Formats: sequence, C-alpha cells, structure tokens
Amino acid sequence: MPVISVKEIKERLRMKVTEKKSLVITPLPRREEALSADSVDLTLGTHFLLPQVPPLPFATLDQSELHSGQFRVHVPLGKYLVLPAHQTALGATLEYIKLPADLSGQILTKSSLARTFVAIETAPWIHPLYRGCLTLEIANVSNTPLLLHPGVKVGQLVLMRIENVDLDEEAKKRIGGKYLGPVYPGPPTFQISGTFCSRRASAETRSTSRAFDGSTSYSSSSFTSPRSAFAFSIIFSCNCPGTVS
Amino acid sequence: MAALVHFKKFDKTLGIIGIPYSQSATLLLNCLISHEFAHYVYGERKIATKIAPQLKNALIKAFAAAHGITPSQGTLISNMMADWAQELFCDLFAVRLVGPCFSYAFIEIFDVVNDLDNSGGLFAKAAAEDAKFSVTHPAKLFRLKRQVSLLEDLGWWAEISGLSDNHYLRLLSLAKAFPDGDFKVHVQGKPFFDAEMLDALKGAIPLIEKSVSDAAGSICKGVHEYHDMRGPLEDYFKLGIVPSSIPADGEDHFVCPTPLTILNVAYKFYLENLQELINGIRDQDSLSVKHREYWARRVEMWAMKGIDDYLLLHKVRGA
Repeated sequence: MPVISVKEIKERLRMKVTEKKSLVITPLPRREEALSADSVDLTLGTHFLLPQVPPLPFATLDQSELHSGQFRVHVPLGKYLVLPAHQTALGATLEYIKLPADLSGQILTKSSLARTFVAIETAPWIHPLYRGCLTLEIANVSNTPLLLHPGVKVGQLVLMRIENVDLDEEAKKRIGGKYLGPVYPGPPTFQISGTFCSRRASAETRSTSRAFDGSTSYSSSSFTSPRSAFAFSIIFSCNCPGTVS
Repeated sequence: MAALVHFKKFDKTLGIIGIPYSQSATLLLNCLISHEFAHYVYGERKIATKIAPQLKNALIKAFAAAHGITPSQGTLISNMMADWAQELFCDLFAVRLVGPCFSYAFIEIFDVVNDLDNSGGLFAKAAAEDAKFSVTHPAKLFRLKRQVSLLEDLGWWAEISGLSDNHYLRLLSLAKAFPDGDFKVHVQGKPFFDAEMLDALKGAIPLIEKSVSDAAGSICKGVHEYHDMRGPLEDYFKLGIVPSSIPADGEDHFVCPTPLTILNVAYKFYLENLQELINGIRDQDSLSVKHREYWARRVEMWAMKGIDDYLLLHKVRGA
C-alpha cells in the first residue's frame, strides 16, 4: 500500500465532499503547519473519558462491563488535564476525519510525545470510509504525572492507497454505523452472541450522577452479582479502609 | 455564597438564564435561549419604560368606545398589554438573532404541530386553543404569525419556504394566514375585551418592531450565507460529516460557516432530510423511532462540533 503524498492529500482535501475520492480533516487551524511530506499532524481534543476511582478490580469483555464506570470530562482550550503516572484515559482528536473508500489510515504517536513515555494509540488502524474524531487510548507509562493540553499535537495521520477498489461500486454500499460519526471519545462496543452491546449508556449515566452528587451509588443487584461479590471479598481481605470509604 | 468563599464577584451586568433541565442537552431546542436572552436586553435597554407612553396611547385609542371598565380591569388591561409587548419583543428579537430555527424550536417545545390535521390543514379544536391569548402571553399562533412576518421582512421566508416542504413550515404558513378575527382573549376562562385588546396590540406592533430593529439592527442577518451554504452543508450532514470547513471551488482555501448558518441548516436537515442520512447506513431503518432519535442526536452533535470549530478557528486566526 503506497503512502500518499502531501500533494495528493491537498488535492483530496480540496474536493467537494460528494466526490468519491474526497478526504475531510476538519478543522485544520494551521493547515500548512499541519501538513508534512507524507502525513498530517493531529491534535488533542477537549473531551476525555476517565476511568472510575477507585478502579474496578478487573474488567471483562462481556455484558457485565455494561456496569463499569467511566466519566466524561471537558477540558477547554487553554486548560489542561493531569494524567497521573501509570494512568490511562480515553481522549479524541480535535480533527474530524472522513476517509474515502480507497484510503486507509494509521495514526502514530508524535515522536516528541513518545519520548515522554506517553502512548496515544493502541488501535491505530483506520478503515476506509471511516468518519468521526479518532478515539485515543492515552497511556502515561512514565513515572511522572503529565499535563495534557487540548490543541497540542499528539499524532500523525499517515494515509495509504488501497489497490483495486471499485469506487463506483463502493459508493452504492451503505456504510457501517458501529462507530460512525463520534465527536467525543467513545467507550468500546463488544459483540456477544451476534448482538452489539455498548458501554456508552452506562458511562453517560454515571457521568451525570457524578456531576450532580459527586458520589457513586450501587444498586442492590450489583452486590449480588458474582463480580461484585469478588470485588468486595478483595476489598475486605486486603483490609483497605480507604477504598471502602 | 460567592462572597463567603471569597470568589470573584459576579459582574453587575451578568445575566442568568434558567432553562428547563429536559432542554439543556438538546442543541436545537436551545435556540429558544435567544428569547430568554432578549428578556435581558429588554430590561437592560429599559425598553418597557421607553414604549410605555405609546402603549398607553394605543390602549386609549382602542378602548375609546368601551364602557364599564372597572379600575382593577384597567390595571389588568395595561399590565397585560405590557407583558404581551415584552413577549413579542423577545420573540422577534430571537428571530432577528438566530433566524427561523427559533420558530422551529418554538413549535417543537409547545407542540404547536398538534394543530395540524392529517390532511395538513389546521385541526380546528387544537388551533382554537392556540389562538387564545393568556394574561401573560400572546396566543401561540399569533406569536408565530408575527415571527413569519419578520422572517419575510428579513428575507428568511423566501429562503426556507421556497424549496422546502415539512410540517413545521406548513404550520408557519397556516399561522401566517390565520385570520386576526379568530384570536381570542380569555381571563379566568372568560372572554375579555377581545376586539379592543387585539386592536391595541396591533396598533403597538410597529413600535415593538422598531424597538427590535433598534436593539438588534447591527447584528448580521445571516440570510445570504444561508443561501450560499445550505446545499453544501446539507451534503455534509447527509454523509455524517462535521461541516466546519468547506472547500471553496477550485481554490486552496476553505470557508467556515457561521454558527447561525450551521444551526439553521441542521434544524432544517433534522426536519426534512434525516432519512437520507439513515438510508445510507447499514442496518438502520429511517422509520424506526429509536434509530431516528439516535441519528437526530448525532446531527446535533456534528452541528455542535461545527460551532465549536468555528469558534476555535476564529480564535486561532485572531478574528
């Protein structure tokens, strides 16, 4: 797959959005600065999904994860988010991207950021026809807390041409809606027994309740689930009053 | 409370607007905030004091032939007229500020669309209710009628009614043609000087319109940009893309639509074209309420992102 050049990126950005080869990356406030010979710089957005504190005792990729807690934070431009050492957060690019049917993309951590031992992406591949802000799995693997400033350059988008794509045929197809059009970082969607379940609803509900009362409440059913029982056995066996309170 | 914790004091001119909790997360319904904003302008500019003498004259003229008005009725009449004038001012100011999306949001929050029957005409019983003035507010259909009149004057009406066909526009057209004689004024469920009150209000409308024009005259109407950008922006929404920078034909620069244009196009898209977006997505049904609700939220999200991006781009460019 050949990497496309800045010349082709510019040509595709100039196309009308209805053209089959059009590429959208918006906004690009400093367009010329963002474009390099073979990539486009992407910046950190203003919305984050943070894991609950104290963290879950463990996570599984199934329905029970619907009850796991994450909460949303909006950090305006000019402010920053502190990401403690060895902690993670979901973020999103400020740029909204639409790829045509004949391009795939890959997002790479900016080398300067990588040298502070921060990774922004562990699922870097972007499929053709994708549209949305890219969710970033931000991990601070260093021993130092990190200040994340929205608007700072965090990644490089490299675009590659897919050979032998029939654009006319692709234009007739309906696009997939699983991750279509997000503008905020999204929690994962797992496929179980042929159906999709999303953690989004629980994350949003949790964030609302936190915003109003600052506390997390557990329903009686959560105490009766095996996962909760296991969690509480760990808490009590570790004799960790700080966690319980 | 702010003083207790030695927090920075609020500015004396700070306006605080309360909105219903149910409305807060909905971008398109929040177009109604422009009406509440106008209440603040009305107070700050002391418009009530400025127009009071003319309102009084309009009442004297309209009630010249009326008999047997008690002092308490007289006070009520003059208070009602002042309240109606303020509400109309706020409606028209809101239309001047954000264009037709205010009228769409107005129809939505008050469910005025229930006035339509299956054939697209007015459902007489429901319309009769919405043609009643209350003590504090003009009738909903009257308010819509005045809004359409201003939309016509501003050039918006030709833009939104030309090629479009949706039930909100049909309702606005019917409100525009609603006979003045069918509006009723009721106080505690009983008719209350219908003819006189409406005559007085009609007499005061040019004055209210002038007050709006004086207060909002320098604000860009946005009609020309809407005319130029509506088509391209609809394409963006149809394809599920945030419309924050649109390439100019054959050139290397990009146009950033203003929040006013994004709001109006997004609302129109939500009313008329949502199925075109849904029909392009796998496993989604444009007749499913659940799917429509989900994608309507997405359209709002893209519009919000477009507005955020506009503000960001202008900040970066120092505009």
